[in-house]
Amino acid sequence: MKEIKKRDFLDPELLAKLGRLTVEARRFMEGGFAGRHKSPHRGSSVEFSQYRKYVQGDDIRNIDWRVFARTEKHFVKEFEADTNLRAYMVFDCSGSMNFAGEDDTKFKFAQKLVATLAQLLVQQGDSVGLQAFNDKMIKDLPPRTSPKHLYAIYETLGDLQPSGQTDLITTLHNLAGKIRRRAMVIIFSDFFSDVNKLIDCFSHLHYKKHDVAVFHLIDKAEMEFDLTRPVRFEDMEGGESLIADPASIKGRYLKEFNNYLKEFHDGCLSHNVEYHLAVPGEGAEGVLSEFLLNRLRGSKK
Amino acid sequence: MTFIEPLLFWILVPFVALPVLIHLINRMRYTPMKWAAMDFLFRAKRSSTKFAKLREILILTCRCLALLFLAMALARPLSGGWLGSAFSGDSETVIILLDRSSSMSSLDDSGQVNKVQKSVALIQETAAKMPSGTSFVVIDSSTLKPIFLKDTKSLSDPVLFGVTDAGASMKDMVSSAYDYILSANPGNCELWLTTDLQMNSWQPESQDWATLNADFKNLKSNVAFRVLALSNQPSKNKSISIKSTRRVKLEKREILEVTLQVARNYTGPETIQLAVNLNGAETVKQISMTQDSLLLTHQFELASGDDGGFGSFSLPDDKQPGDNFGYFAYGKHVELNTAIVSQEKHSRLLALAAAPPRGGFSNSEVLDSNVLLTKSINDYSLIIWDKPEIEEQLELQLIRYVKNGGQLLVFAQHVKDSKLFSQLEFGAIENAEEYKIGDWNEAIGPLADSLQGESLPVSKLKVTTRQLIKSPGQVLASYEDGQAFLSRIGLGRGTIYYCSTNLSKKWSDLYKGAVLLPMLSRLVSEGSKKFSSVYFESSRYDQQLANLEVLLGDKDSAVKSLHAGVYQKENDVYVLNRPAYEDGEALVDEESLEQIFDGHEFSMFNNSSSAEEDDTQSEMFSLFALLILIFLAVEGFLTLQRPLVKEVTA
Repeated sequence: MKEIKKRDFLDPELLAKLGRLTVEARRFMEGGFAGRHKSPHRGSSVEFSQYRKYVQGDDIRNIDWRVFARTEKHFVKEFEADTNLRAYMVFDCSGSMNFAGEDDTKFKFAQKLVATLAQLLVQQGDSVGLQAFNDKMIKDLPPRTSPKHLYAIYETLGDLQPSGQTDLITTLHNLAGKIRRRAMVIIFSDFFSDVNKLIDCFSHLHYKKHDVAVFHLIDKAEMEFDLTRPVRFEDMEGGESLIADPASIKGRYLKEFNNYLKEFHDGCLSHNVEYHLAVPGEGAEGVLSEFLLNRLRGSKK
Repeated sequence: MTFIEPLLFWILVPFVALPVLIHLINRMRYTPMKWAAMDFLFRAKRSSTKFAKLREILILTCRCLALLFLAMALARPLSGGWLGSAFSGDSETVIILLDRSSSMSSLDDSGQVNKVQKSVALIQETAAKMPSGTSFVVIDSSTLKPIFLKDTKSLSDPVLFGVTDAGASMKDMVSSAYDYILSANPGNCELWLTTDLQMNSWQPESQDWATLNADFKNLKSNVAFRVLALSNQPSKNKSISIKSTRRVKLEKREILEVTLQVARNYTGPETIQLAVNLNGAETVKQISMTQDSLLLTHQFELASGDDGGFGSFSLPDDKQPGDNFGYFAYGKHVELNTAIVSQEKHSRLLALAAAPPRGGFSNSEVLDSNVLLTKSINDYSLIIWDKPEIEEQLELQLIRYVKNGGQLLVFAQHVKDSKLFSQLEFGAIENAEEYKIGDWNEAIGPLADSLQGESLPVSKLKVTTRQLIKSPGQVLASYEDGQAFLSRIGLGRGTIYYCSTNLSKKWSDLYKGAVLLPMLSRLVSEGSKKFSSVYFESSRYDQQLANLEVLLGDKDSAVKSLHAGVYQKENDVYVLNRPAYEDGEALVDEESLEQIFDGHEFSMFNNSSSAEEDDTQSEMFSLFALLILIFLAVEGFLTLQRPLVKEVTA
């Protein structure tokens, strides 16, 4: 008998609430199929785009004869091409994602976000892929549209365990090099890496004309640092540990941390990367609905 | 600084380390926690380490100091304590100058401990905390001899280092210490001077201090001076002192007149019980006092043929037992005779002045020098020479007379550049409208103040002619221009007095008698001492007064001459009383002492009274309480203070 896996990251209630919303692309997409997103190419949709003079080699079926009858000149009628999008869910599975304050781990929260978005995208006929990594690529599921593929994504998500160190920089550069056509890249990570290098990655992705969005997973405890007793801080990615009296370093820590947040946030905006701070304690609905609505409004953060 | 409860202090001191201990335990009791944002922690720790460590150290220091001051406050600290002021730590030798004088007999509030005992206790307490290897030498005020101490416990020996009835001279003690340092070269020294700050013991005006100060500066050793002052004086003290004794023959009666002074440091009417002892028979005499001092003469009726005796007057016990006794003794009746060798008209006046008609105890006669040669010259108490020339044979006899204890008064001569008694070389005769006498010794000698403390009218004397002397000896009175009016030269047991004027109206108005009468009376009295086997002395350390037999007084004392009483040595009777200057109440101030020891390391601890001690202790407690509050406040401020962090919204 096949074992039925419990998938905590799938929340039917959340899917029901968000089910009416669609995931819109902010840039032209290049999909393999017809879809709901604008393509940079002219296509055969019903939406008229422009007239242009006939040139040798054009399909004579596209000549607008009514215009020829009026002007005795050959014009070709062009239409917008609608296509589907290919979304890459870049999922950080390093040890640091296993951090939890009083709520779920960042990893679990990210699982929920990935699963929900994947569901929504497949539901609207788009392709979804999953790139799980830590210091190397753990799983690389290319974008597919089929429900079967969605199931494979769920399976993969369920099997993943946060561990090891992060090498987000290399992963993103590799990904930018690998994805040949315009796609949506959604990154789920705590982004505890060098901000400048991260911005370089986003610049690379932007240059490739990808629509990039980041979900910055930060726990409340990391932001508030409200600890009292002396603590031995153990690096979740296997690095050096540190004994400190939180009270004595809280000020400096918060200053450094907030500076980092601001620097990263500003860096994202400057490279047209959509930024969302995802705090596990605040629930998935808020951050996802904000993401979806923003896109629906076509607004840029 | 000293503590009333030093044991408590040492018990509590380890608790000072408590905050550090708690801090260390807390550091060890850390909670392990998995953390993702490690980079920020490392950066925060790196940048805040210096400040955090400094703050941590400051907080811990504040906590420790607060606890330390709490321990100190609970141990009841005394400010400026002898321990604190005396101990410098680098001295190899401590020379203890121990004042054992009569005034140090003053008892504390408990009535059990006198100042000598208290100073010894403080010295022992301090000595116990000195580094091992420190040598202790004591020089006491009575013997002035340095004694090397194995340890300071031996200072508790009342025989060797107890209070005496002798006087004290701090100058002599410091000088003895100087001699010791010079000879023994003991390295770095501390001089611990115990004193009741009595002005008479210190004599801060003396020029000798400047010399001593310079001598100490020239020493190779570093010398620090620490004065342990016990200046408290009993609030109600009475004292008694014998001023004079005189045996008078009035017709068939023989009377012993003892003049004594009862003094007190307070006023108000009071009846005082005076215990009188004469030859073992004790009686009580009641005297009424309203003033602070009373001079009274007590008469004893002596039996005919009484060859001598002794006695004492004593006051009830009070907080200063050393001044409650006065001893006296008397010998057989002696006729007091004065010979006046003069051919001048005023010789009759001299005879009258030397033996007043109602004096009842002396005779005088005017003689020619030839007649004097035929007389038994040693029978005279006083010989007055008022003649320009002298026969060589008589001159030799008179010198012998003086050496045997006789008193010779010589009035100014009329012959210039003559020489008398091998001692007096006369100068020119000078005339002026008036030579005023500007200064005279009011403490000792024939021009001293009366027993009642009244000055003789010496300044009112009018001198118009004077003859100066080339080698005046000890000047007892001088003119305003500094020339000697009256001087004396000691010769054997007696004294030659020289007066630079005479009774002639052309010379002075000395004939009026206001000065002459008491002056001659005192000289006669002084001359009579050679007939007596009774000697009135001040208690002191004197090898010649060894082996005294106690007639009245403390029979157990080791060095008897240091204690008041009546003693016998062969056929002589010695009456020893405390020196009069020991009754002085004037105190030397710290400023004067600083001046005395100017240029040297000097500190003074004034343990003035137990009441003040409590005040000091209380004052110190408040200070420590304040310090505790300050350090706790600083600690609180540092604990609550956090660097301000600007909130950054992403």
